[in-house]
Amino acid sequence: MNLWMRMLWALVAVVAAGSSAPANAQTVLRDDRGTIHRFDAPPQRIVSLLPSLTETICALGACSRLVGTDRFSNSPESVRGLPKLGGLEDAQVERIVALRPDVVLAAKSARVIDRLESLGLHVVVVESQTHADVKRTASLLAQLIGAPPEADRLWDAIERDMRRAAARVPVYLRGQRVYFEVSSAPYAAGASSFIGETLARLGMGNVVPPEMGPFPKLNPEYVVRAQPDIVMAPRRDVEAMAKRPGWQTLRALRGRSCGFDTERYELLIRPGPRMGEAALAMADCLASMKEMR
Amino acid sequence: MNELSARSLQVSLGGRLVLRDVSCTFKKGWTAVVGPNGAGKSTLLRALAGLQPRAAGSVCLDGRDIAAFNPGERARRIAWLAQQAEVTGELTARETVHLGRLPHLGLFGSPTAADETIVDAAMNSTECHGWQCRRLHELSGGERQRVMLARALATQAPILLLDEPTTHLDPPHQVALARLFRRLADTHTVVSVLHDLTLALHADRILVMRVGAVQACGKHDDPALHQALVATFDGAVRIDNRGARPMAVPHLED
Amino acid sequence: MSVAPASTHVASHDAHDDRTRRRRLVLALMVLAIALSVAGLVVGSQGWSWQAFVSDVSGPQADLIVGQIRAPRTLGALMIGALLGLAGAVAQGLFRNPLADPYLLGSAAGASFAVVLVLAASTLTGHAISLATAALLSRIGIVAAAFAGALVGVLLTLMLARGAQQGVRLLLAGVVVGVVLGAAGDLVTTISPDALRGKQVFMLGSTGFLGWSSVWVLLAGLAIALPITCRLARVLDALSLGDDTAASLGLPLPRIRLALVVLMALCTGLAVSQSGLVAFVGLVAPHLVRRYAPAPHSYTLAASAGMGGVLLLAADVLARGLIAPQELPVGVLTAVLGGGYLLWLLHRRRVG
Repeated sequence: MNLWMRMLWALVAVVAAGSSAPANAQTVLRDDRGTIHRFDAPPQRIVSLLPSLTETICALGACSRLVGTDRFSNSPESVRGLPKLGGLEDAQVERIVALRPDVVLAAKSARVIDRLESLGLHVVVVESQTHADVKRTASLLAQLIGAPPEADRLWDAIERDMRRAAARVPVYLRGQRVYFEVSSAPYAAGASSFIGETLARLGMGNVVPPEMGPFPKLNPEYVVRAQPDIVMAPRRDVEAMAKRPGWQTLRALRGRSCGFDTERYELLIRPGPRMGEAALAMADCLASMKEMR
Repeated sequence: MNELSARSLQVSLGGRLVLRDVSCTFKKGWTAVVGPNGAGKSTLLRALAGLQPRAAGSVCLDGRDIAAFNPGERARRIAWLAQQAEVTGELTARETVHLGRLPHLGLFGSPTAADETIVDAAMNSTECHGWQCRRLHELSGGERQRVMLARALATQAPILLLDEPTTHLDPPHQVALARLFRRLADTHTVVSVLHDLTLALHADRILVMRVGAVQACGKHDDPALHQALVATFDGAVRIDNRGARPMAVPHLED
Repeated sequence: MSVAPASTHVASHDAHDDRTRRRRLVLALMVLAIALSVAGLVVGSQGWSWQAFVSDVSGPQADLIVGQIRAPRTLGALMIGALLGLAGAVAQGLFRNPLADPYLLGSAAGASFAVVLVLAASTLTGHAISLATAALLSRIGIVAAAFAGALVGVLLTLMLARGAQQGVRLLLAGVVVGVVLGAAGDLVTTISPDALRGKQVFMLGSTGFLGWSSVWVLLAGLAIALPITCRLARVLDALSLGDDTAASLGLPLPRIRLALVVLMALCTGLAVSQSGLVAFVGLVAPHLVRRYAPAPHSYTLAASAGMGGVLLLAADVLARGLIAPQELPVGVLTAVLGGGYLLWLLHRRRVG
């Protein structure tokens, strides 16, 4: 071949290579298991098996792409009408598959992950336990739906709410030690849990130090000794607390307690995009406490 | 006195009629109840003890229907020995025999020295006193049976209904028990289900049963009884009258 | 009938030997109870530290920490364990089954269903129950609900089995009631998920919140149940010979079985209403007694109560002390302690 023909073929080759460039639009992400997922196009049909992930998807503006959720997802309102596919332990595999999702979002402890993957579905596993997790999850999911800037927008909104909440906390309560009871065993939210982190952002202390882990099961005596300044718990538990032996001495139960109703309590214990709202709820309760002399 | 009678007794178990129109009376003395497997012997004894609900007919103790007695009184008059001891628990032999005093002590009475003497006597009469501190479930079948018989004797009931009391015993003990029944027959009403026909022929009276009905009832030297025995067992036995007492011998020829 | 080895070759159990073992067990249980009670006062959210105890006792909070928290918790654990041990011994004697436990006749299922109803009362309003019923349920409280639920569960079992005539029918009815009430409870928690937390706490069992009011109630219950049950010890002995033999000894079986079932229900209901469903104590305490000191029920019933009390108290002290100020679930420790000791006893028997 002469030189002109060789250059022509090279040109053709380059153009051909150039026209398959759309391969760069493929989304590649690594979930919390370390599994690499490749999506040719952002998923349009999403199933979420964890309430916080449902909320995150909706907060990122992709609510319309949800085709099914787990039974506990109830926020925002619009997801309540979606098919409910069981919980993490008893997800209805058949129904999930029948919905033909492009991706299924789940937590690490879900039993169905292997099953769904063997049926050919993409399962993106996300672990969301701390503030840092929430931020990372938001950016992961934003990348998944093909709208990375949304994650930053979401996180900025959360941060804004956090700062507003911190500002709302009365000065005379700053630094006081909070006992946050998660369940009546009693399980408490320690300083290393995401609830603890939120409290720290609000400028509050915690009777449970970080070395005891995120959600330790406490000896009730510990709480009595610690004499928390403020008590936060589900409303029913707060009302019953004074009857616990020795707990009648807790000063916090006289005017320095926050008893949250079911809906608000659910908001507080979900590490997700509504963390800012949760912080505001806590701050509102604190703001209602009068100064004691 | 101490007369136990059944009149037109009918009992069904699981839909099947096990006892059909059985009538018999038991007075003082030793009656042996014999018959092939499934003849209803155990069921008859249970019905007589008041432990088996009946479909028709009646069981009367001294003329009164047995259901009219309260359980404690009935237990003081009638002692019943089960065919198989279904034993659980950790009782020793002596503690088991002691339970025989329950009809007299009730739930709350405290045992006295007299009770202990009675228990000793009962254990001695069935020769199980030697291992009174051993647990029931550690004993062999025969040993356990002698303990349970002692339990029945300890109630001092005038009527003894014993379901296969000798089945697991070796010959010396079978003989000893037969002698015991003979002694008791002077003062008690003893009704025992026996498989050993020769032993049964030592009783005062023999009741022959087959398929839920009484075939014959008579004394040991009654020829009609012998005929009934041979017929009931389908010729598998024959009665040998040559000795002082008739013997039942397995018919092995041809 | 199985044929055991001939009597002459087996080592004989002297009457003296038996009596010695029984005395030793009683002594051991008393010593353990006292030692563990002291431990129960010393061990708290600061673990096993003796200095901490001394400073607690001499400090201003002595009455609060030791008197109002540790002391009633210790006594309460002892008595709950005793109630469960007693009920377990009755269950095993009544059903002549070494695997029987006091939760068999629907008491556990009834109690947890009642607890779930109370927890879900506010959510169920409008769906399944009226506002008035919901208000009533909320006022009742967990403790009363659990007690009532346990009794109702047993009542349902008795109704289903049409009285206490036959042991097998009673057991089957208990299983059915347990399954049905369990499913009903699951249904309620599906409708009202926030009841799930409280239900899990109840099902795990906990001695954490026993106060003096609980102690008085438990003491009263034990003071009534223990003597009455021990009086019926002879019945359980007679039952071990077989139903028919027991009946032939003059016992009015249906009535007596009913009385025993009711006693069992009361003991179990009282225990679970205060501490939730603590596992294993009722099952294993009678076994431990029987393995070491076999005896008629007049001894075994009371000894099982003592053994159950000691077992639960030991588990409670360890639960508090091992990872202080955190606590282990007491049910895990009762399983480890009771099961471990039983295994050791079995091993010793085989070797020795």
